[in-house]
Amino acid sequence: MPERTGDDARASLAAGQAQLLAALVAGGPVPEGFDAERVRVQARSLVAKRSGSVARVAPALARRLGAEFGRLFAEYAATRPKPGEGSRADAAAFADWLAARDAGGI
Amino acid sequence: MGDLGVGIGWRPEIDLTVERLDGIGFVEVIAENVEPARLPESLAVLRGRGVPVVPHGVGLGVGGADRPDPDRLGHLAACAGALGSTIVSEHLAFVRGGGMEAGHLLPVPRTRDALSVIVENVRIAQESLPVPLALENVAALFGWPDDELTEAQFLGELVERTGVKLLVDVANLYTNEVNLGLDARAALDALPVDEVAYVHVAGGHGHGGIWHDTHTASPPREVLDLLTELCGRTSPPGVLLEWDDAYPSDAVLAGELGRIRGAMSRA
Repeated sequence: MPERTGDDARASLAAGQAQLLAALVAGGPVPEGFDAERVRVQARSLVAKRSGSVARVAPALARRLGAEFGRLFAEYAATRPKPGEGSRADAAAFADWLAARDAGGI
Repeated sequence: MGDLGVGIGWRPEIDLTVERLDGIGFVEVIAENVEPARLPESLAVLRGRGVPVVPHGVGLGVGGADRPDPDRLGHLAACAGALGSTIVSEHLAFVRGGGMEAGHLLPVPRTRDALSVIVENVRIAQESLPVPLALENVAALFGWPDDELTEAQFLGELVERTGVKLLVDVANLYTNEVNLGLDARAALDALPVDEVAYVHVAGGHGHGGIWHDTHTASPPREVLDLLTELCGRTSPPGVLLEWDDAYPSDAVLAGELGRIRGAMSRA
């Protein structure tokens, strides 16, 4: 395909990357043409990396949840992308989600 | 940037180890983890000894659809200034889009369209940085369906059109060979290896036919063989071991640096 430049190329790159990210971090459908299994492996790997970072910044929370930490974090993260502010904000949002869940809100 | 020799990724958890290891030629620091105005004492100690420190960014996303963020570029520039660095490195990757953060380095679609966008992004980054930029090839678990170029071709075009330098990660080449069937030696053949600023080496773990480039284990022989292959094609100014968690003893890390030197000398 001939090379387009400028805003058209940016818009098409933005659309493709946003669609893939939605599948990877927000529970969206795997975009057409991708190896669905590999996209799922990548998504799991992103959650694992994210949960490791949350456990490092919130060790008390990780200790309190013990063996349940990984499963609960994966459930929380399945449809919730990591906040742009980083792992501390992620840990706070996870704690809020747990509290709402314990209160029967989820 | 002269001869860097063999180095290791500086991490807060192994700061004293890095200071103690013999023959460290240079180190890398994750740029997002330091404040230029308040550098860790250990980095100041290393700088005082004349050990070069390379700021290594992981959050710029120069392969993203948006133009690089001026604040992130300003931070990289400030790191280079505070550390007296002669080069800054980042990745040919995207890390966010559509308001979502990936939290990791993801491969870009290697189309002509994407290339035109990323050429512009790289030029914007270069204009903001006081020193040359090197871009690293990434490890991938999947490819884009509409790829028109190999990663080596894509990086080669970026080098030709922007003058960007290369950070060749041989562990990432190995990862892509295992996971995606991409021939690592063919990639070395296609890359403009004389533009290599330095090289990354790391270990990982295999699960179910997939290699995870975790930086938490001894680099496998296959990765060191690729280093030997690369050193047979060019003399890279530096080679750096990345180790990010599950840190072993000082003696083990010293042994790993010895294995790297051995692989370089076999070329």
